[in-house]
Amino acid sequence: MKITLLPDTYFIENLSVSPLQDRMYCIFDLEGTGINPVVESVTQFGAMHFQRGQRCNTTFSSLARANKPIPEAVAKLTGISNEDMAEAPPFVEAFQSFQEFIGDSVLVTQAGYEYDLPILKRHCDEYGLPMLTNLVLDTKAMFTYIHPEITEVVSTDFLIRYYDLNTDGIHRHNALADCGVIAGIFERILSEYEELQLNHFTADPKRMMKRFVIPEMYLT
Amino acid sequence: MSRTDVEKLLSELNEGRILTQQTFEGLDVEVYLDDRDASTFADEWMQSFKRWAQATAVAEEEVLRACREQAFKQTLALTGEPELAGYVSDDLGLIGAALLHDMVNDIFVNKLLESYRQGRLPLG
Repeated sequence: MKITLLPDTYFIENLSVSPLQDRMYCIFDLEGTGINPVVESVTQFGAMHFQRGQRCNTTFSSLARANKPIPEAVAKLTGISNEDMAEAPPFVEAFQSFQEFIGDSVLVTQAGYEYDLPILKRHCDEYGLPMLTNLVLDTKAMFTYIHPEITEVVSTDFLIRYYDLNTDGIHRHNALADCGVIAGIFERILSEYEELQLNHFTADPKRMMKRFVIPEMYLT
Repeated sequence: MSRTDVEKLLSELNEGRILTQQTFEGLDVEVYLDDRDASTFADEWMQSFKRWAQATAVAEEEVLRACREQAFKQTLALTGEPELAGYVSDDLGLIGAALLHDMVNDIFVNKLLESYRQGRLPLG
């Protein structure tokens, strides 16, 4: 798969996942020291196995020692502090455990094409590790492809509102808790694909996704 | 006047009078999309899009969203081709945006709409 990031948008090429229904996926999410994948450092991995219509309880969560301090605003948001980092396993160790958990599953992210994958790739390059080769679906792209009428940036919050998901009591911005939210979103999207009789997702370089805007709090 | 025109367009879409089997009959989707992208049609389309649909508040209008959504779903149902469905949705979005601007005299948009009304996909 190839992801091409442009200033305000991005597109993907060379990815096809078929069938979409009736298969086991692994949803994953990362937390980091900030929102810009070009400069920030991973602080937490979260992952869970998922199959539509089935309750999958297998989950994975690990902190990863960041190579830069966590700003206070981010610590408040994620609940992960600089003190937590002192006890956290090094990135390489956490990444290896994560890889063992995901195996060769098709992965699912929300906005991972513009955050989780670029930051992971950068870390892999820095540590001399091979990058993941799993197929990766992104709920943001899947939603965008079947909703050309939507003009907003397809953020997690937007999708929660769109599908009227109840996230009360969920600790948002915890990687594993966010996997649960992504599972809810993915379930609804798979349902829409089924209604549209689409049982594949094929990358189309002509379909552009709108990139998220980095909130002011991360820029200070 | 302009909103009435878009609402009329949405009604026609909902009633299945814009996109029909005839619109896509005998279509080679790959050839059609390649032809569209390679022709001056693509340039004219982009110029019209910039004029009426890009960075304007009308794109947020609910009636326009409904047109685009209907166009996407109907094309997908009739052809099973999500890429083509995206193009048709974009076309109907552009037509609707121009109508909302009360632009009845845009030759390109008029040709676009006329083509769909005559039961054929636009090109050139």
